[in-house]
Amino acid sequence: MNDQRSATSGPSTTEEETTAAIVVDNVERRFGRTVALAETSLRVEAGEFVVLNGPSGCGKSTLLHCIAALDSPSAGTITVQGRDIAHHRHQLSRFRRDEIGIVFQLHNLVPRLSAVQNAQLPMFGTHLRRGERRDRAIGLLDEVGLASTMNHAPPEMSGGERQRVAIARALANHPTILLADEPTGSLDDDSAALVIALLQRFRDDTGMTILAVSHDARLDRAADRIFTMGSAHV
Amino acid sequence: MTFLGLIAHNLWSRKMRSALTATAVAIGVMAVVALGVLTTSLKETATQVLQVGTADFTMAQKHTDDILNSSISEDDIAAIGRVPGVQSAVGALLEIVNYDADNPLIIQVGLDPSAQGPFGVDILEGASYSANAPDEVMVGYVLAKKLSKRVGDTIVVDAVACRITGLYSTNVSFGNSTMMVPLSALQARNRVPGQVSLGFVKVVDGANVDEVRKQIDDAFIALTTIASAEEFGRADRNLTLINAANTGGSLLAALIAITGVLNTSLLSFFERIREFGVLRAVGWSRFRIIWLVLGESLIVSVIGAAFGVWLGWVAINVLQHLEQLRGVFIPVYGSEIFLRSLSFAVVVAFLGALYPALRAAFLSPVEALRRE
Repeated sequence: MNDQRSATSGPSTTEEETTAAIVVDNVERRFGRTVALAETSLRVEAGEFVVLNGPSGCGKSTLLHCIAALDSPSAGTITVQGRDIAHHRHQLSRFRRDEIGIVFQLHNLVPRLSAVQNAQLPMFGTHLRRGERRDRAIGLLDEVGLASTMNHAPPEMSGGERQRVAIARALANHPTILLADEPTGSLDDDSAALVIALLQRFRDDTGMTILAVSHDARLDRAADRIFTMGSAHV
Repeated sequence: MTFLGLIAHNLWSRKMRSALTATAVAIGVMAVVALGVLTTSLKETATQVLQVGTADFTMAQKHTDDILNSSISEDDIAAIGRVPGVQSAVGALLEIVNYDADNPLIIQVGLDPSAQGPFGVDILEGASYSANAPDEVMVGYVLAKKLSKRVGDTIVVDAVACRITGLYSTNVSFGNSTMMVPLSALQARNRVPGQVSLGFVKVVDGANVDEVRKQIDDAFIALTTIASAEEFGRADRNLTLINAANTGGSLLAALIAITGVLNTSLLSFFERIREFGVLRAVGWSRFRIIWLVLGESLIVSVIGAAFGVWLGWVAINVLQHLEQLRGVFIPVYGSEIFLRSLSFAVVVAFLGALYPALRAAFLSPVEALRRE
């Protein structure tokens, strides 16, 4: 993994002073004989905004899925907030709900539900009551500039608006880590700029760690560091 | 938004799918209700004959196809009357009369005038028939009203013109829709001298009914004692067959309904794979996803069950007016029918949606998110 740029902003400056939010140690993911993710190591400090880029098929999304515990590595270990996620294997749902927020390239909103209902989905199973869930979802939508369209369903919204709803949903449980898979990949310049500004603002306000997989130079410019992955091959 | 609200929202936003699932359940429940009411009603009608009079229990021939075909000799009735603890044993011959199209199944009771008291007969108007009169008849007051007959009128039964000597009532409503003739006359007409269909036994005050029954059951091995509707099957095989048909029909209906629910739930699952992947990705547990799918199925099934109960009621009303079934049964809507329907809906919902629920809960989030 090639670290192209050191952190230029964020809460910490030296390795001694920082705590690793994500440590990927020699992780590999195979599907039969196909190597989807070649041996990879990576360290992301708490509060960093890191972009992961590389050629298509090199395993960026696979790595992201492994960090989010949506997939399991074939080899290696992943440590999130100081704990090996393999130790969470009986409570992966709770881990995903409490520690991780995920933003997908295609937003993946439930089309039948309104923006405010989509934003509430991760809060089911938490201690929050119905009113608290709704208030928090409204607050998040307000923060992403969608207070006036919170009752709109995704098909009634633009791509940029949907992605902002997805960000609100990802932040619903105040995660410590936000993982984003091509969050601006399908957006026009204005929408992409809005989404990038939102990610930066949330990182600055909350100190959350952001790891984004992207080919988008616009996102690269906002990152503290950029990791470039080589290609995975058989 | 509550979890229940989410379930309701999901169902409402796929109205056609939900309606089809509810229809599958409704058809099943309709079958269960119709069969259940039909069976209960037939059982009720059939067992009412046992409840006529003041007897503690009834005697019948074992394992007849129809209790009305039971045959007991008058000698046996007399012998039963001599069993210690028995106060009285009365024999009655029963026959079904096809009076006319509207009254195809009138029960005619052959009873000696001296047995009318123990049989619970109360003469309301006129007098009893004579013991051996072949052309005299008494008519239950409900039947008389239905046939527009009065004391002194003539009624043709089995091609025999009989004069109505009196109108009577009995202790059960069923008896008020029967007609009564001298036992010897009915025996002669049916060429079964010395035979009766049923015996009605009353025990002496203070005697243990069960012990007396045991003595009789042990002494008369071709006969059986019946003290309740539940024991009716000992004598009447038809009832056992009706119960079996009801169970079989209900199981078949359940199979059809489960297949319907499974079909629509599976289609729904395939349409929503990506959605389930998203829910897993945002932290939903497998258990919560199972509850989501089962909950949707459960609510749709309960709605379908309510609709099915109404359809069942309509079906019973249609059946009741079919020529072949007219007058055969009076619908009895017991609470157990509705409880059975509700249980049916819950079981159908659970079994029909379990497999899709498990598929949804255990699919790989990554695989699900890759689905278009």
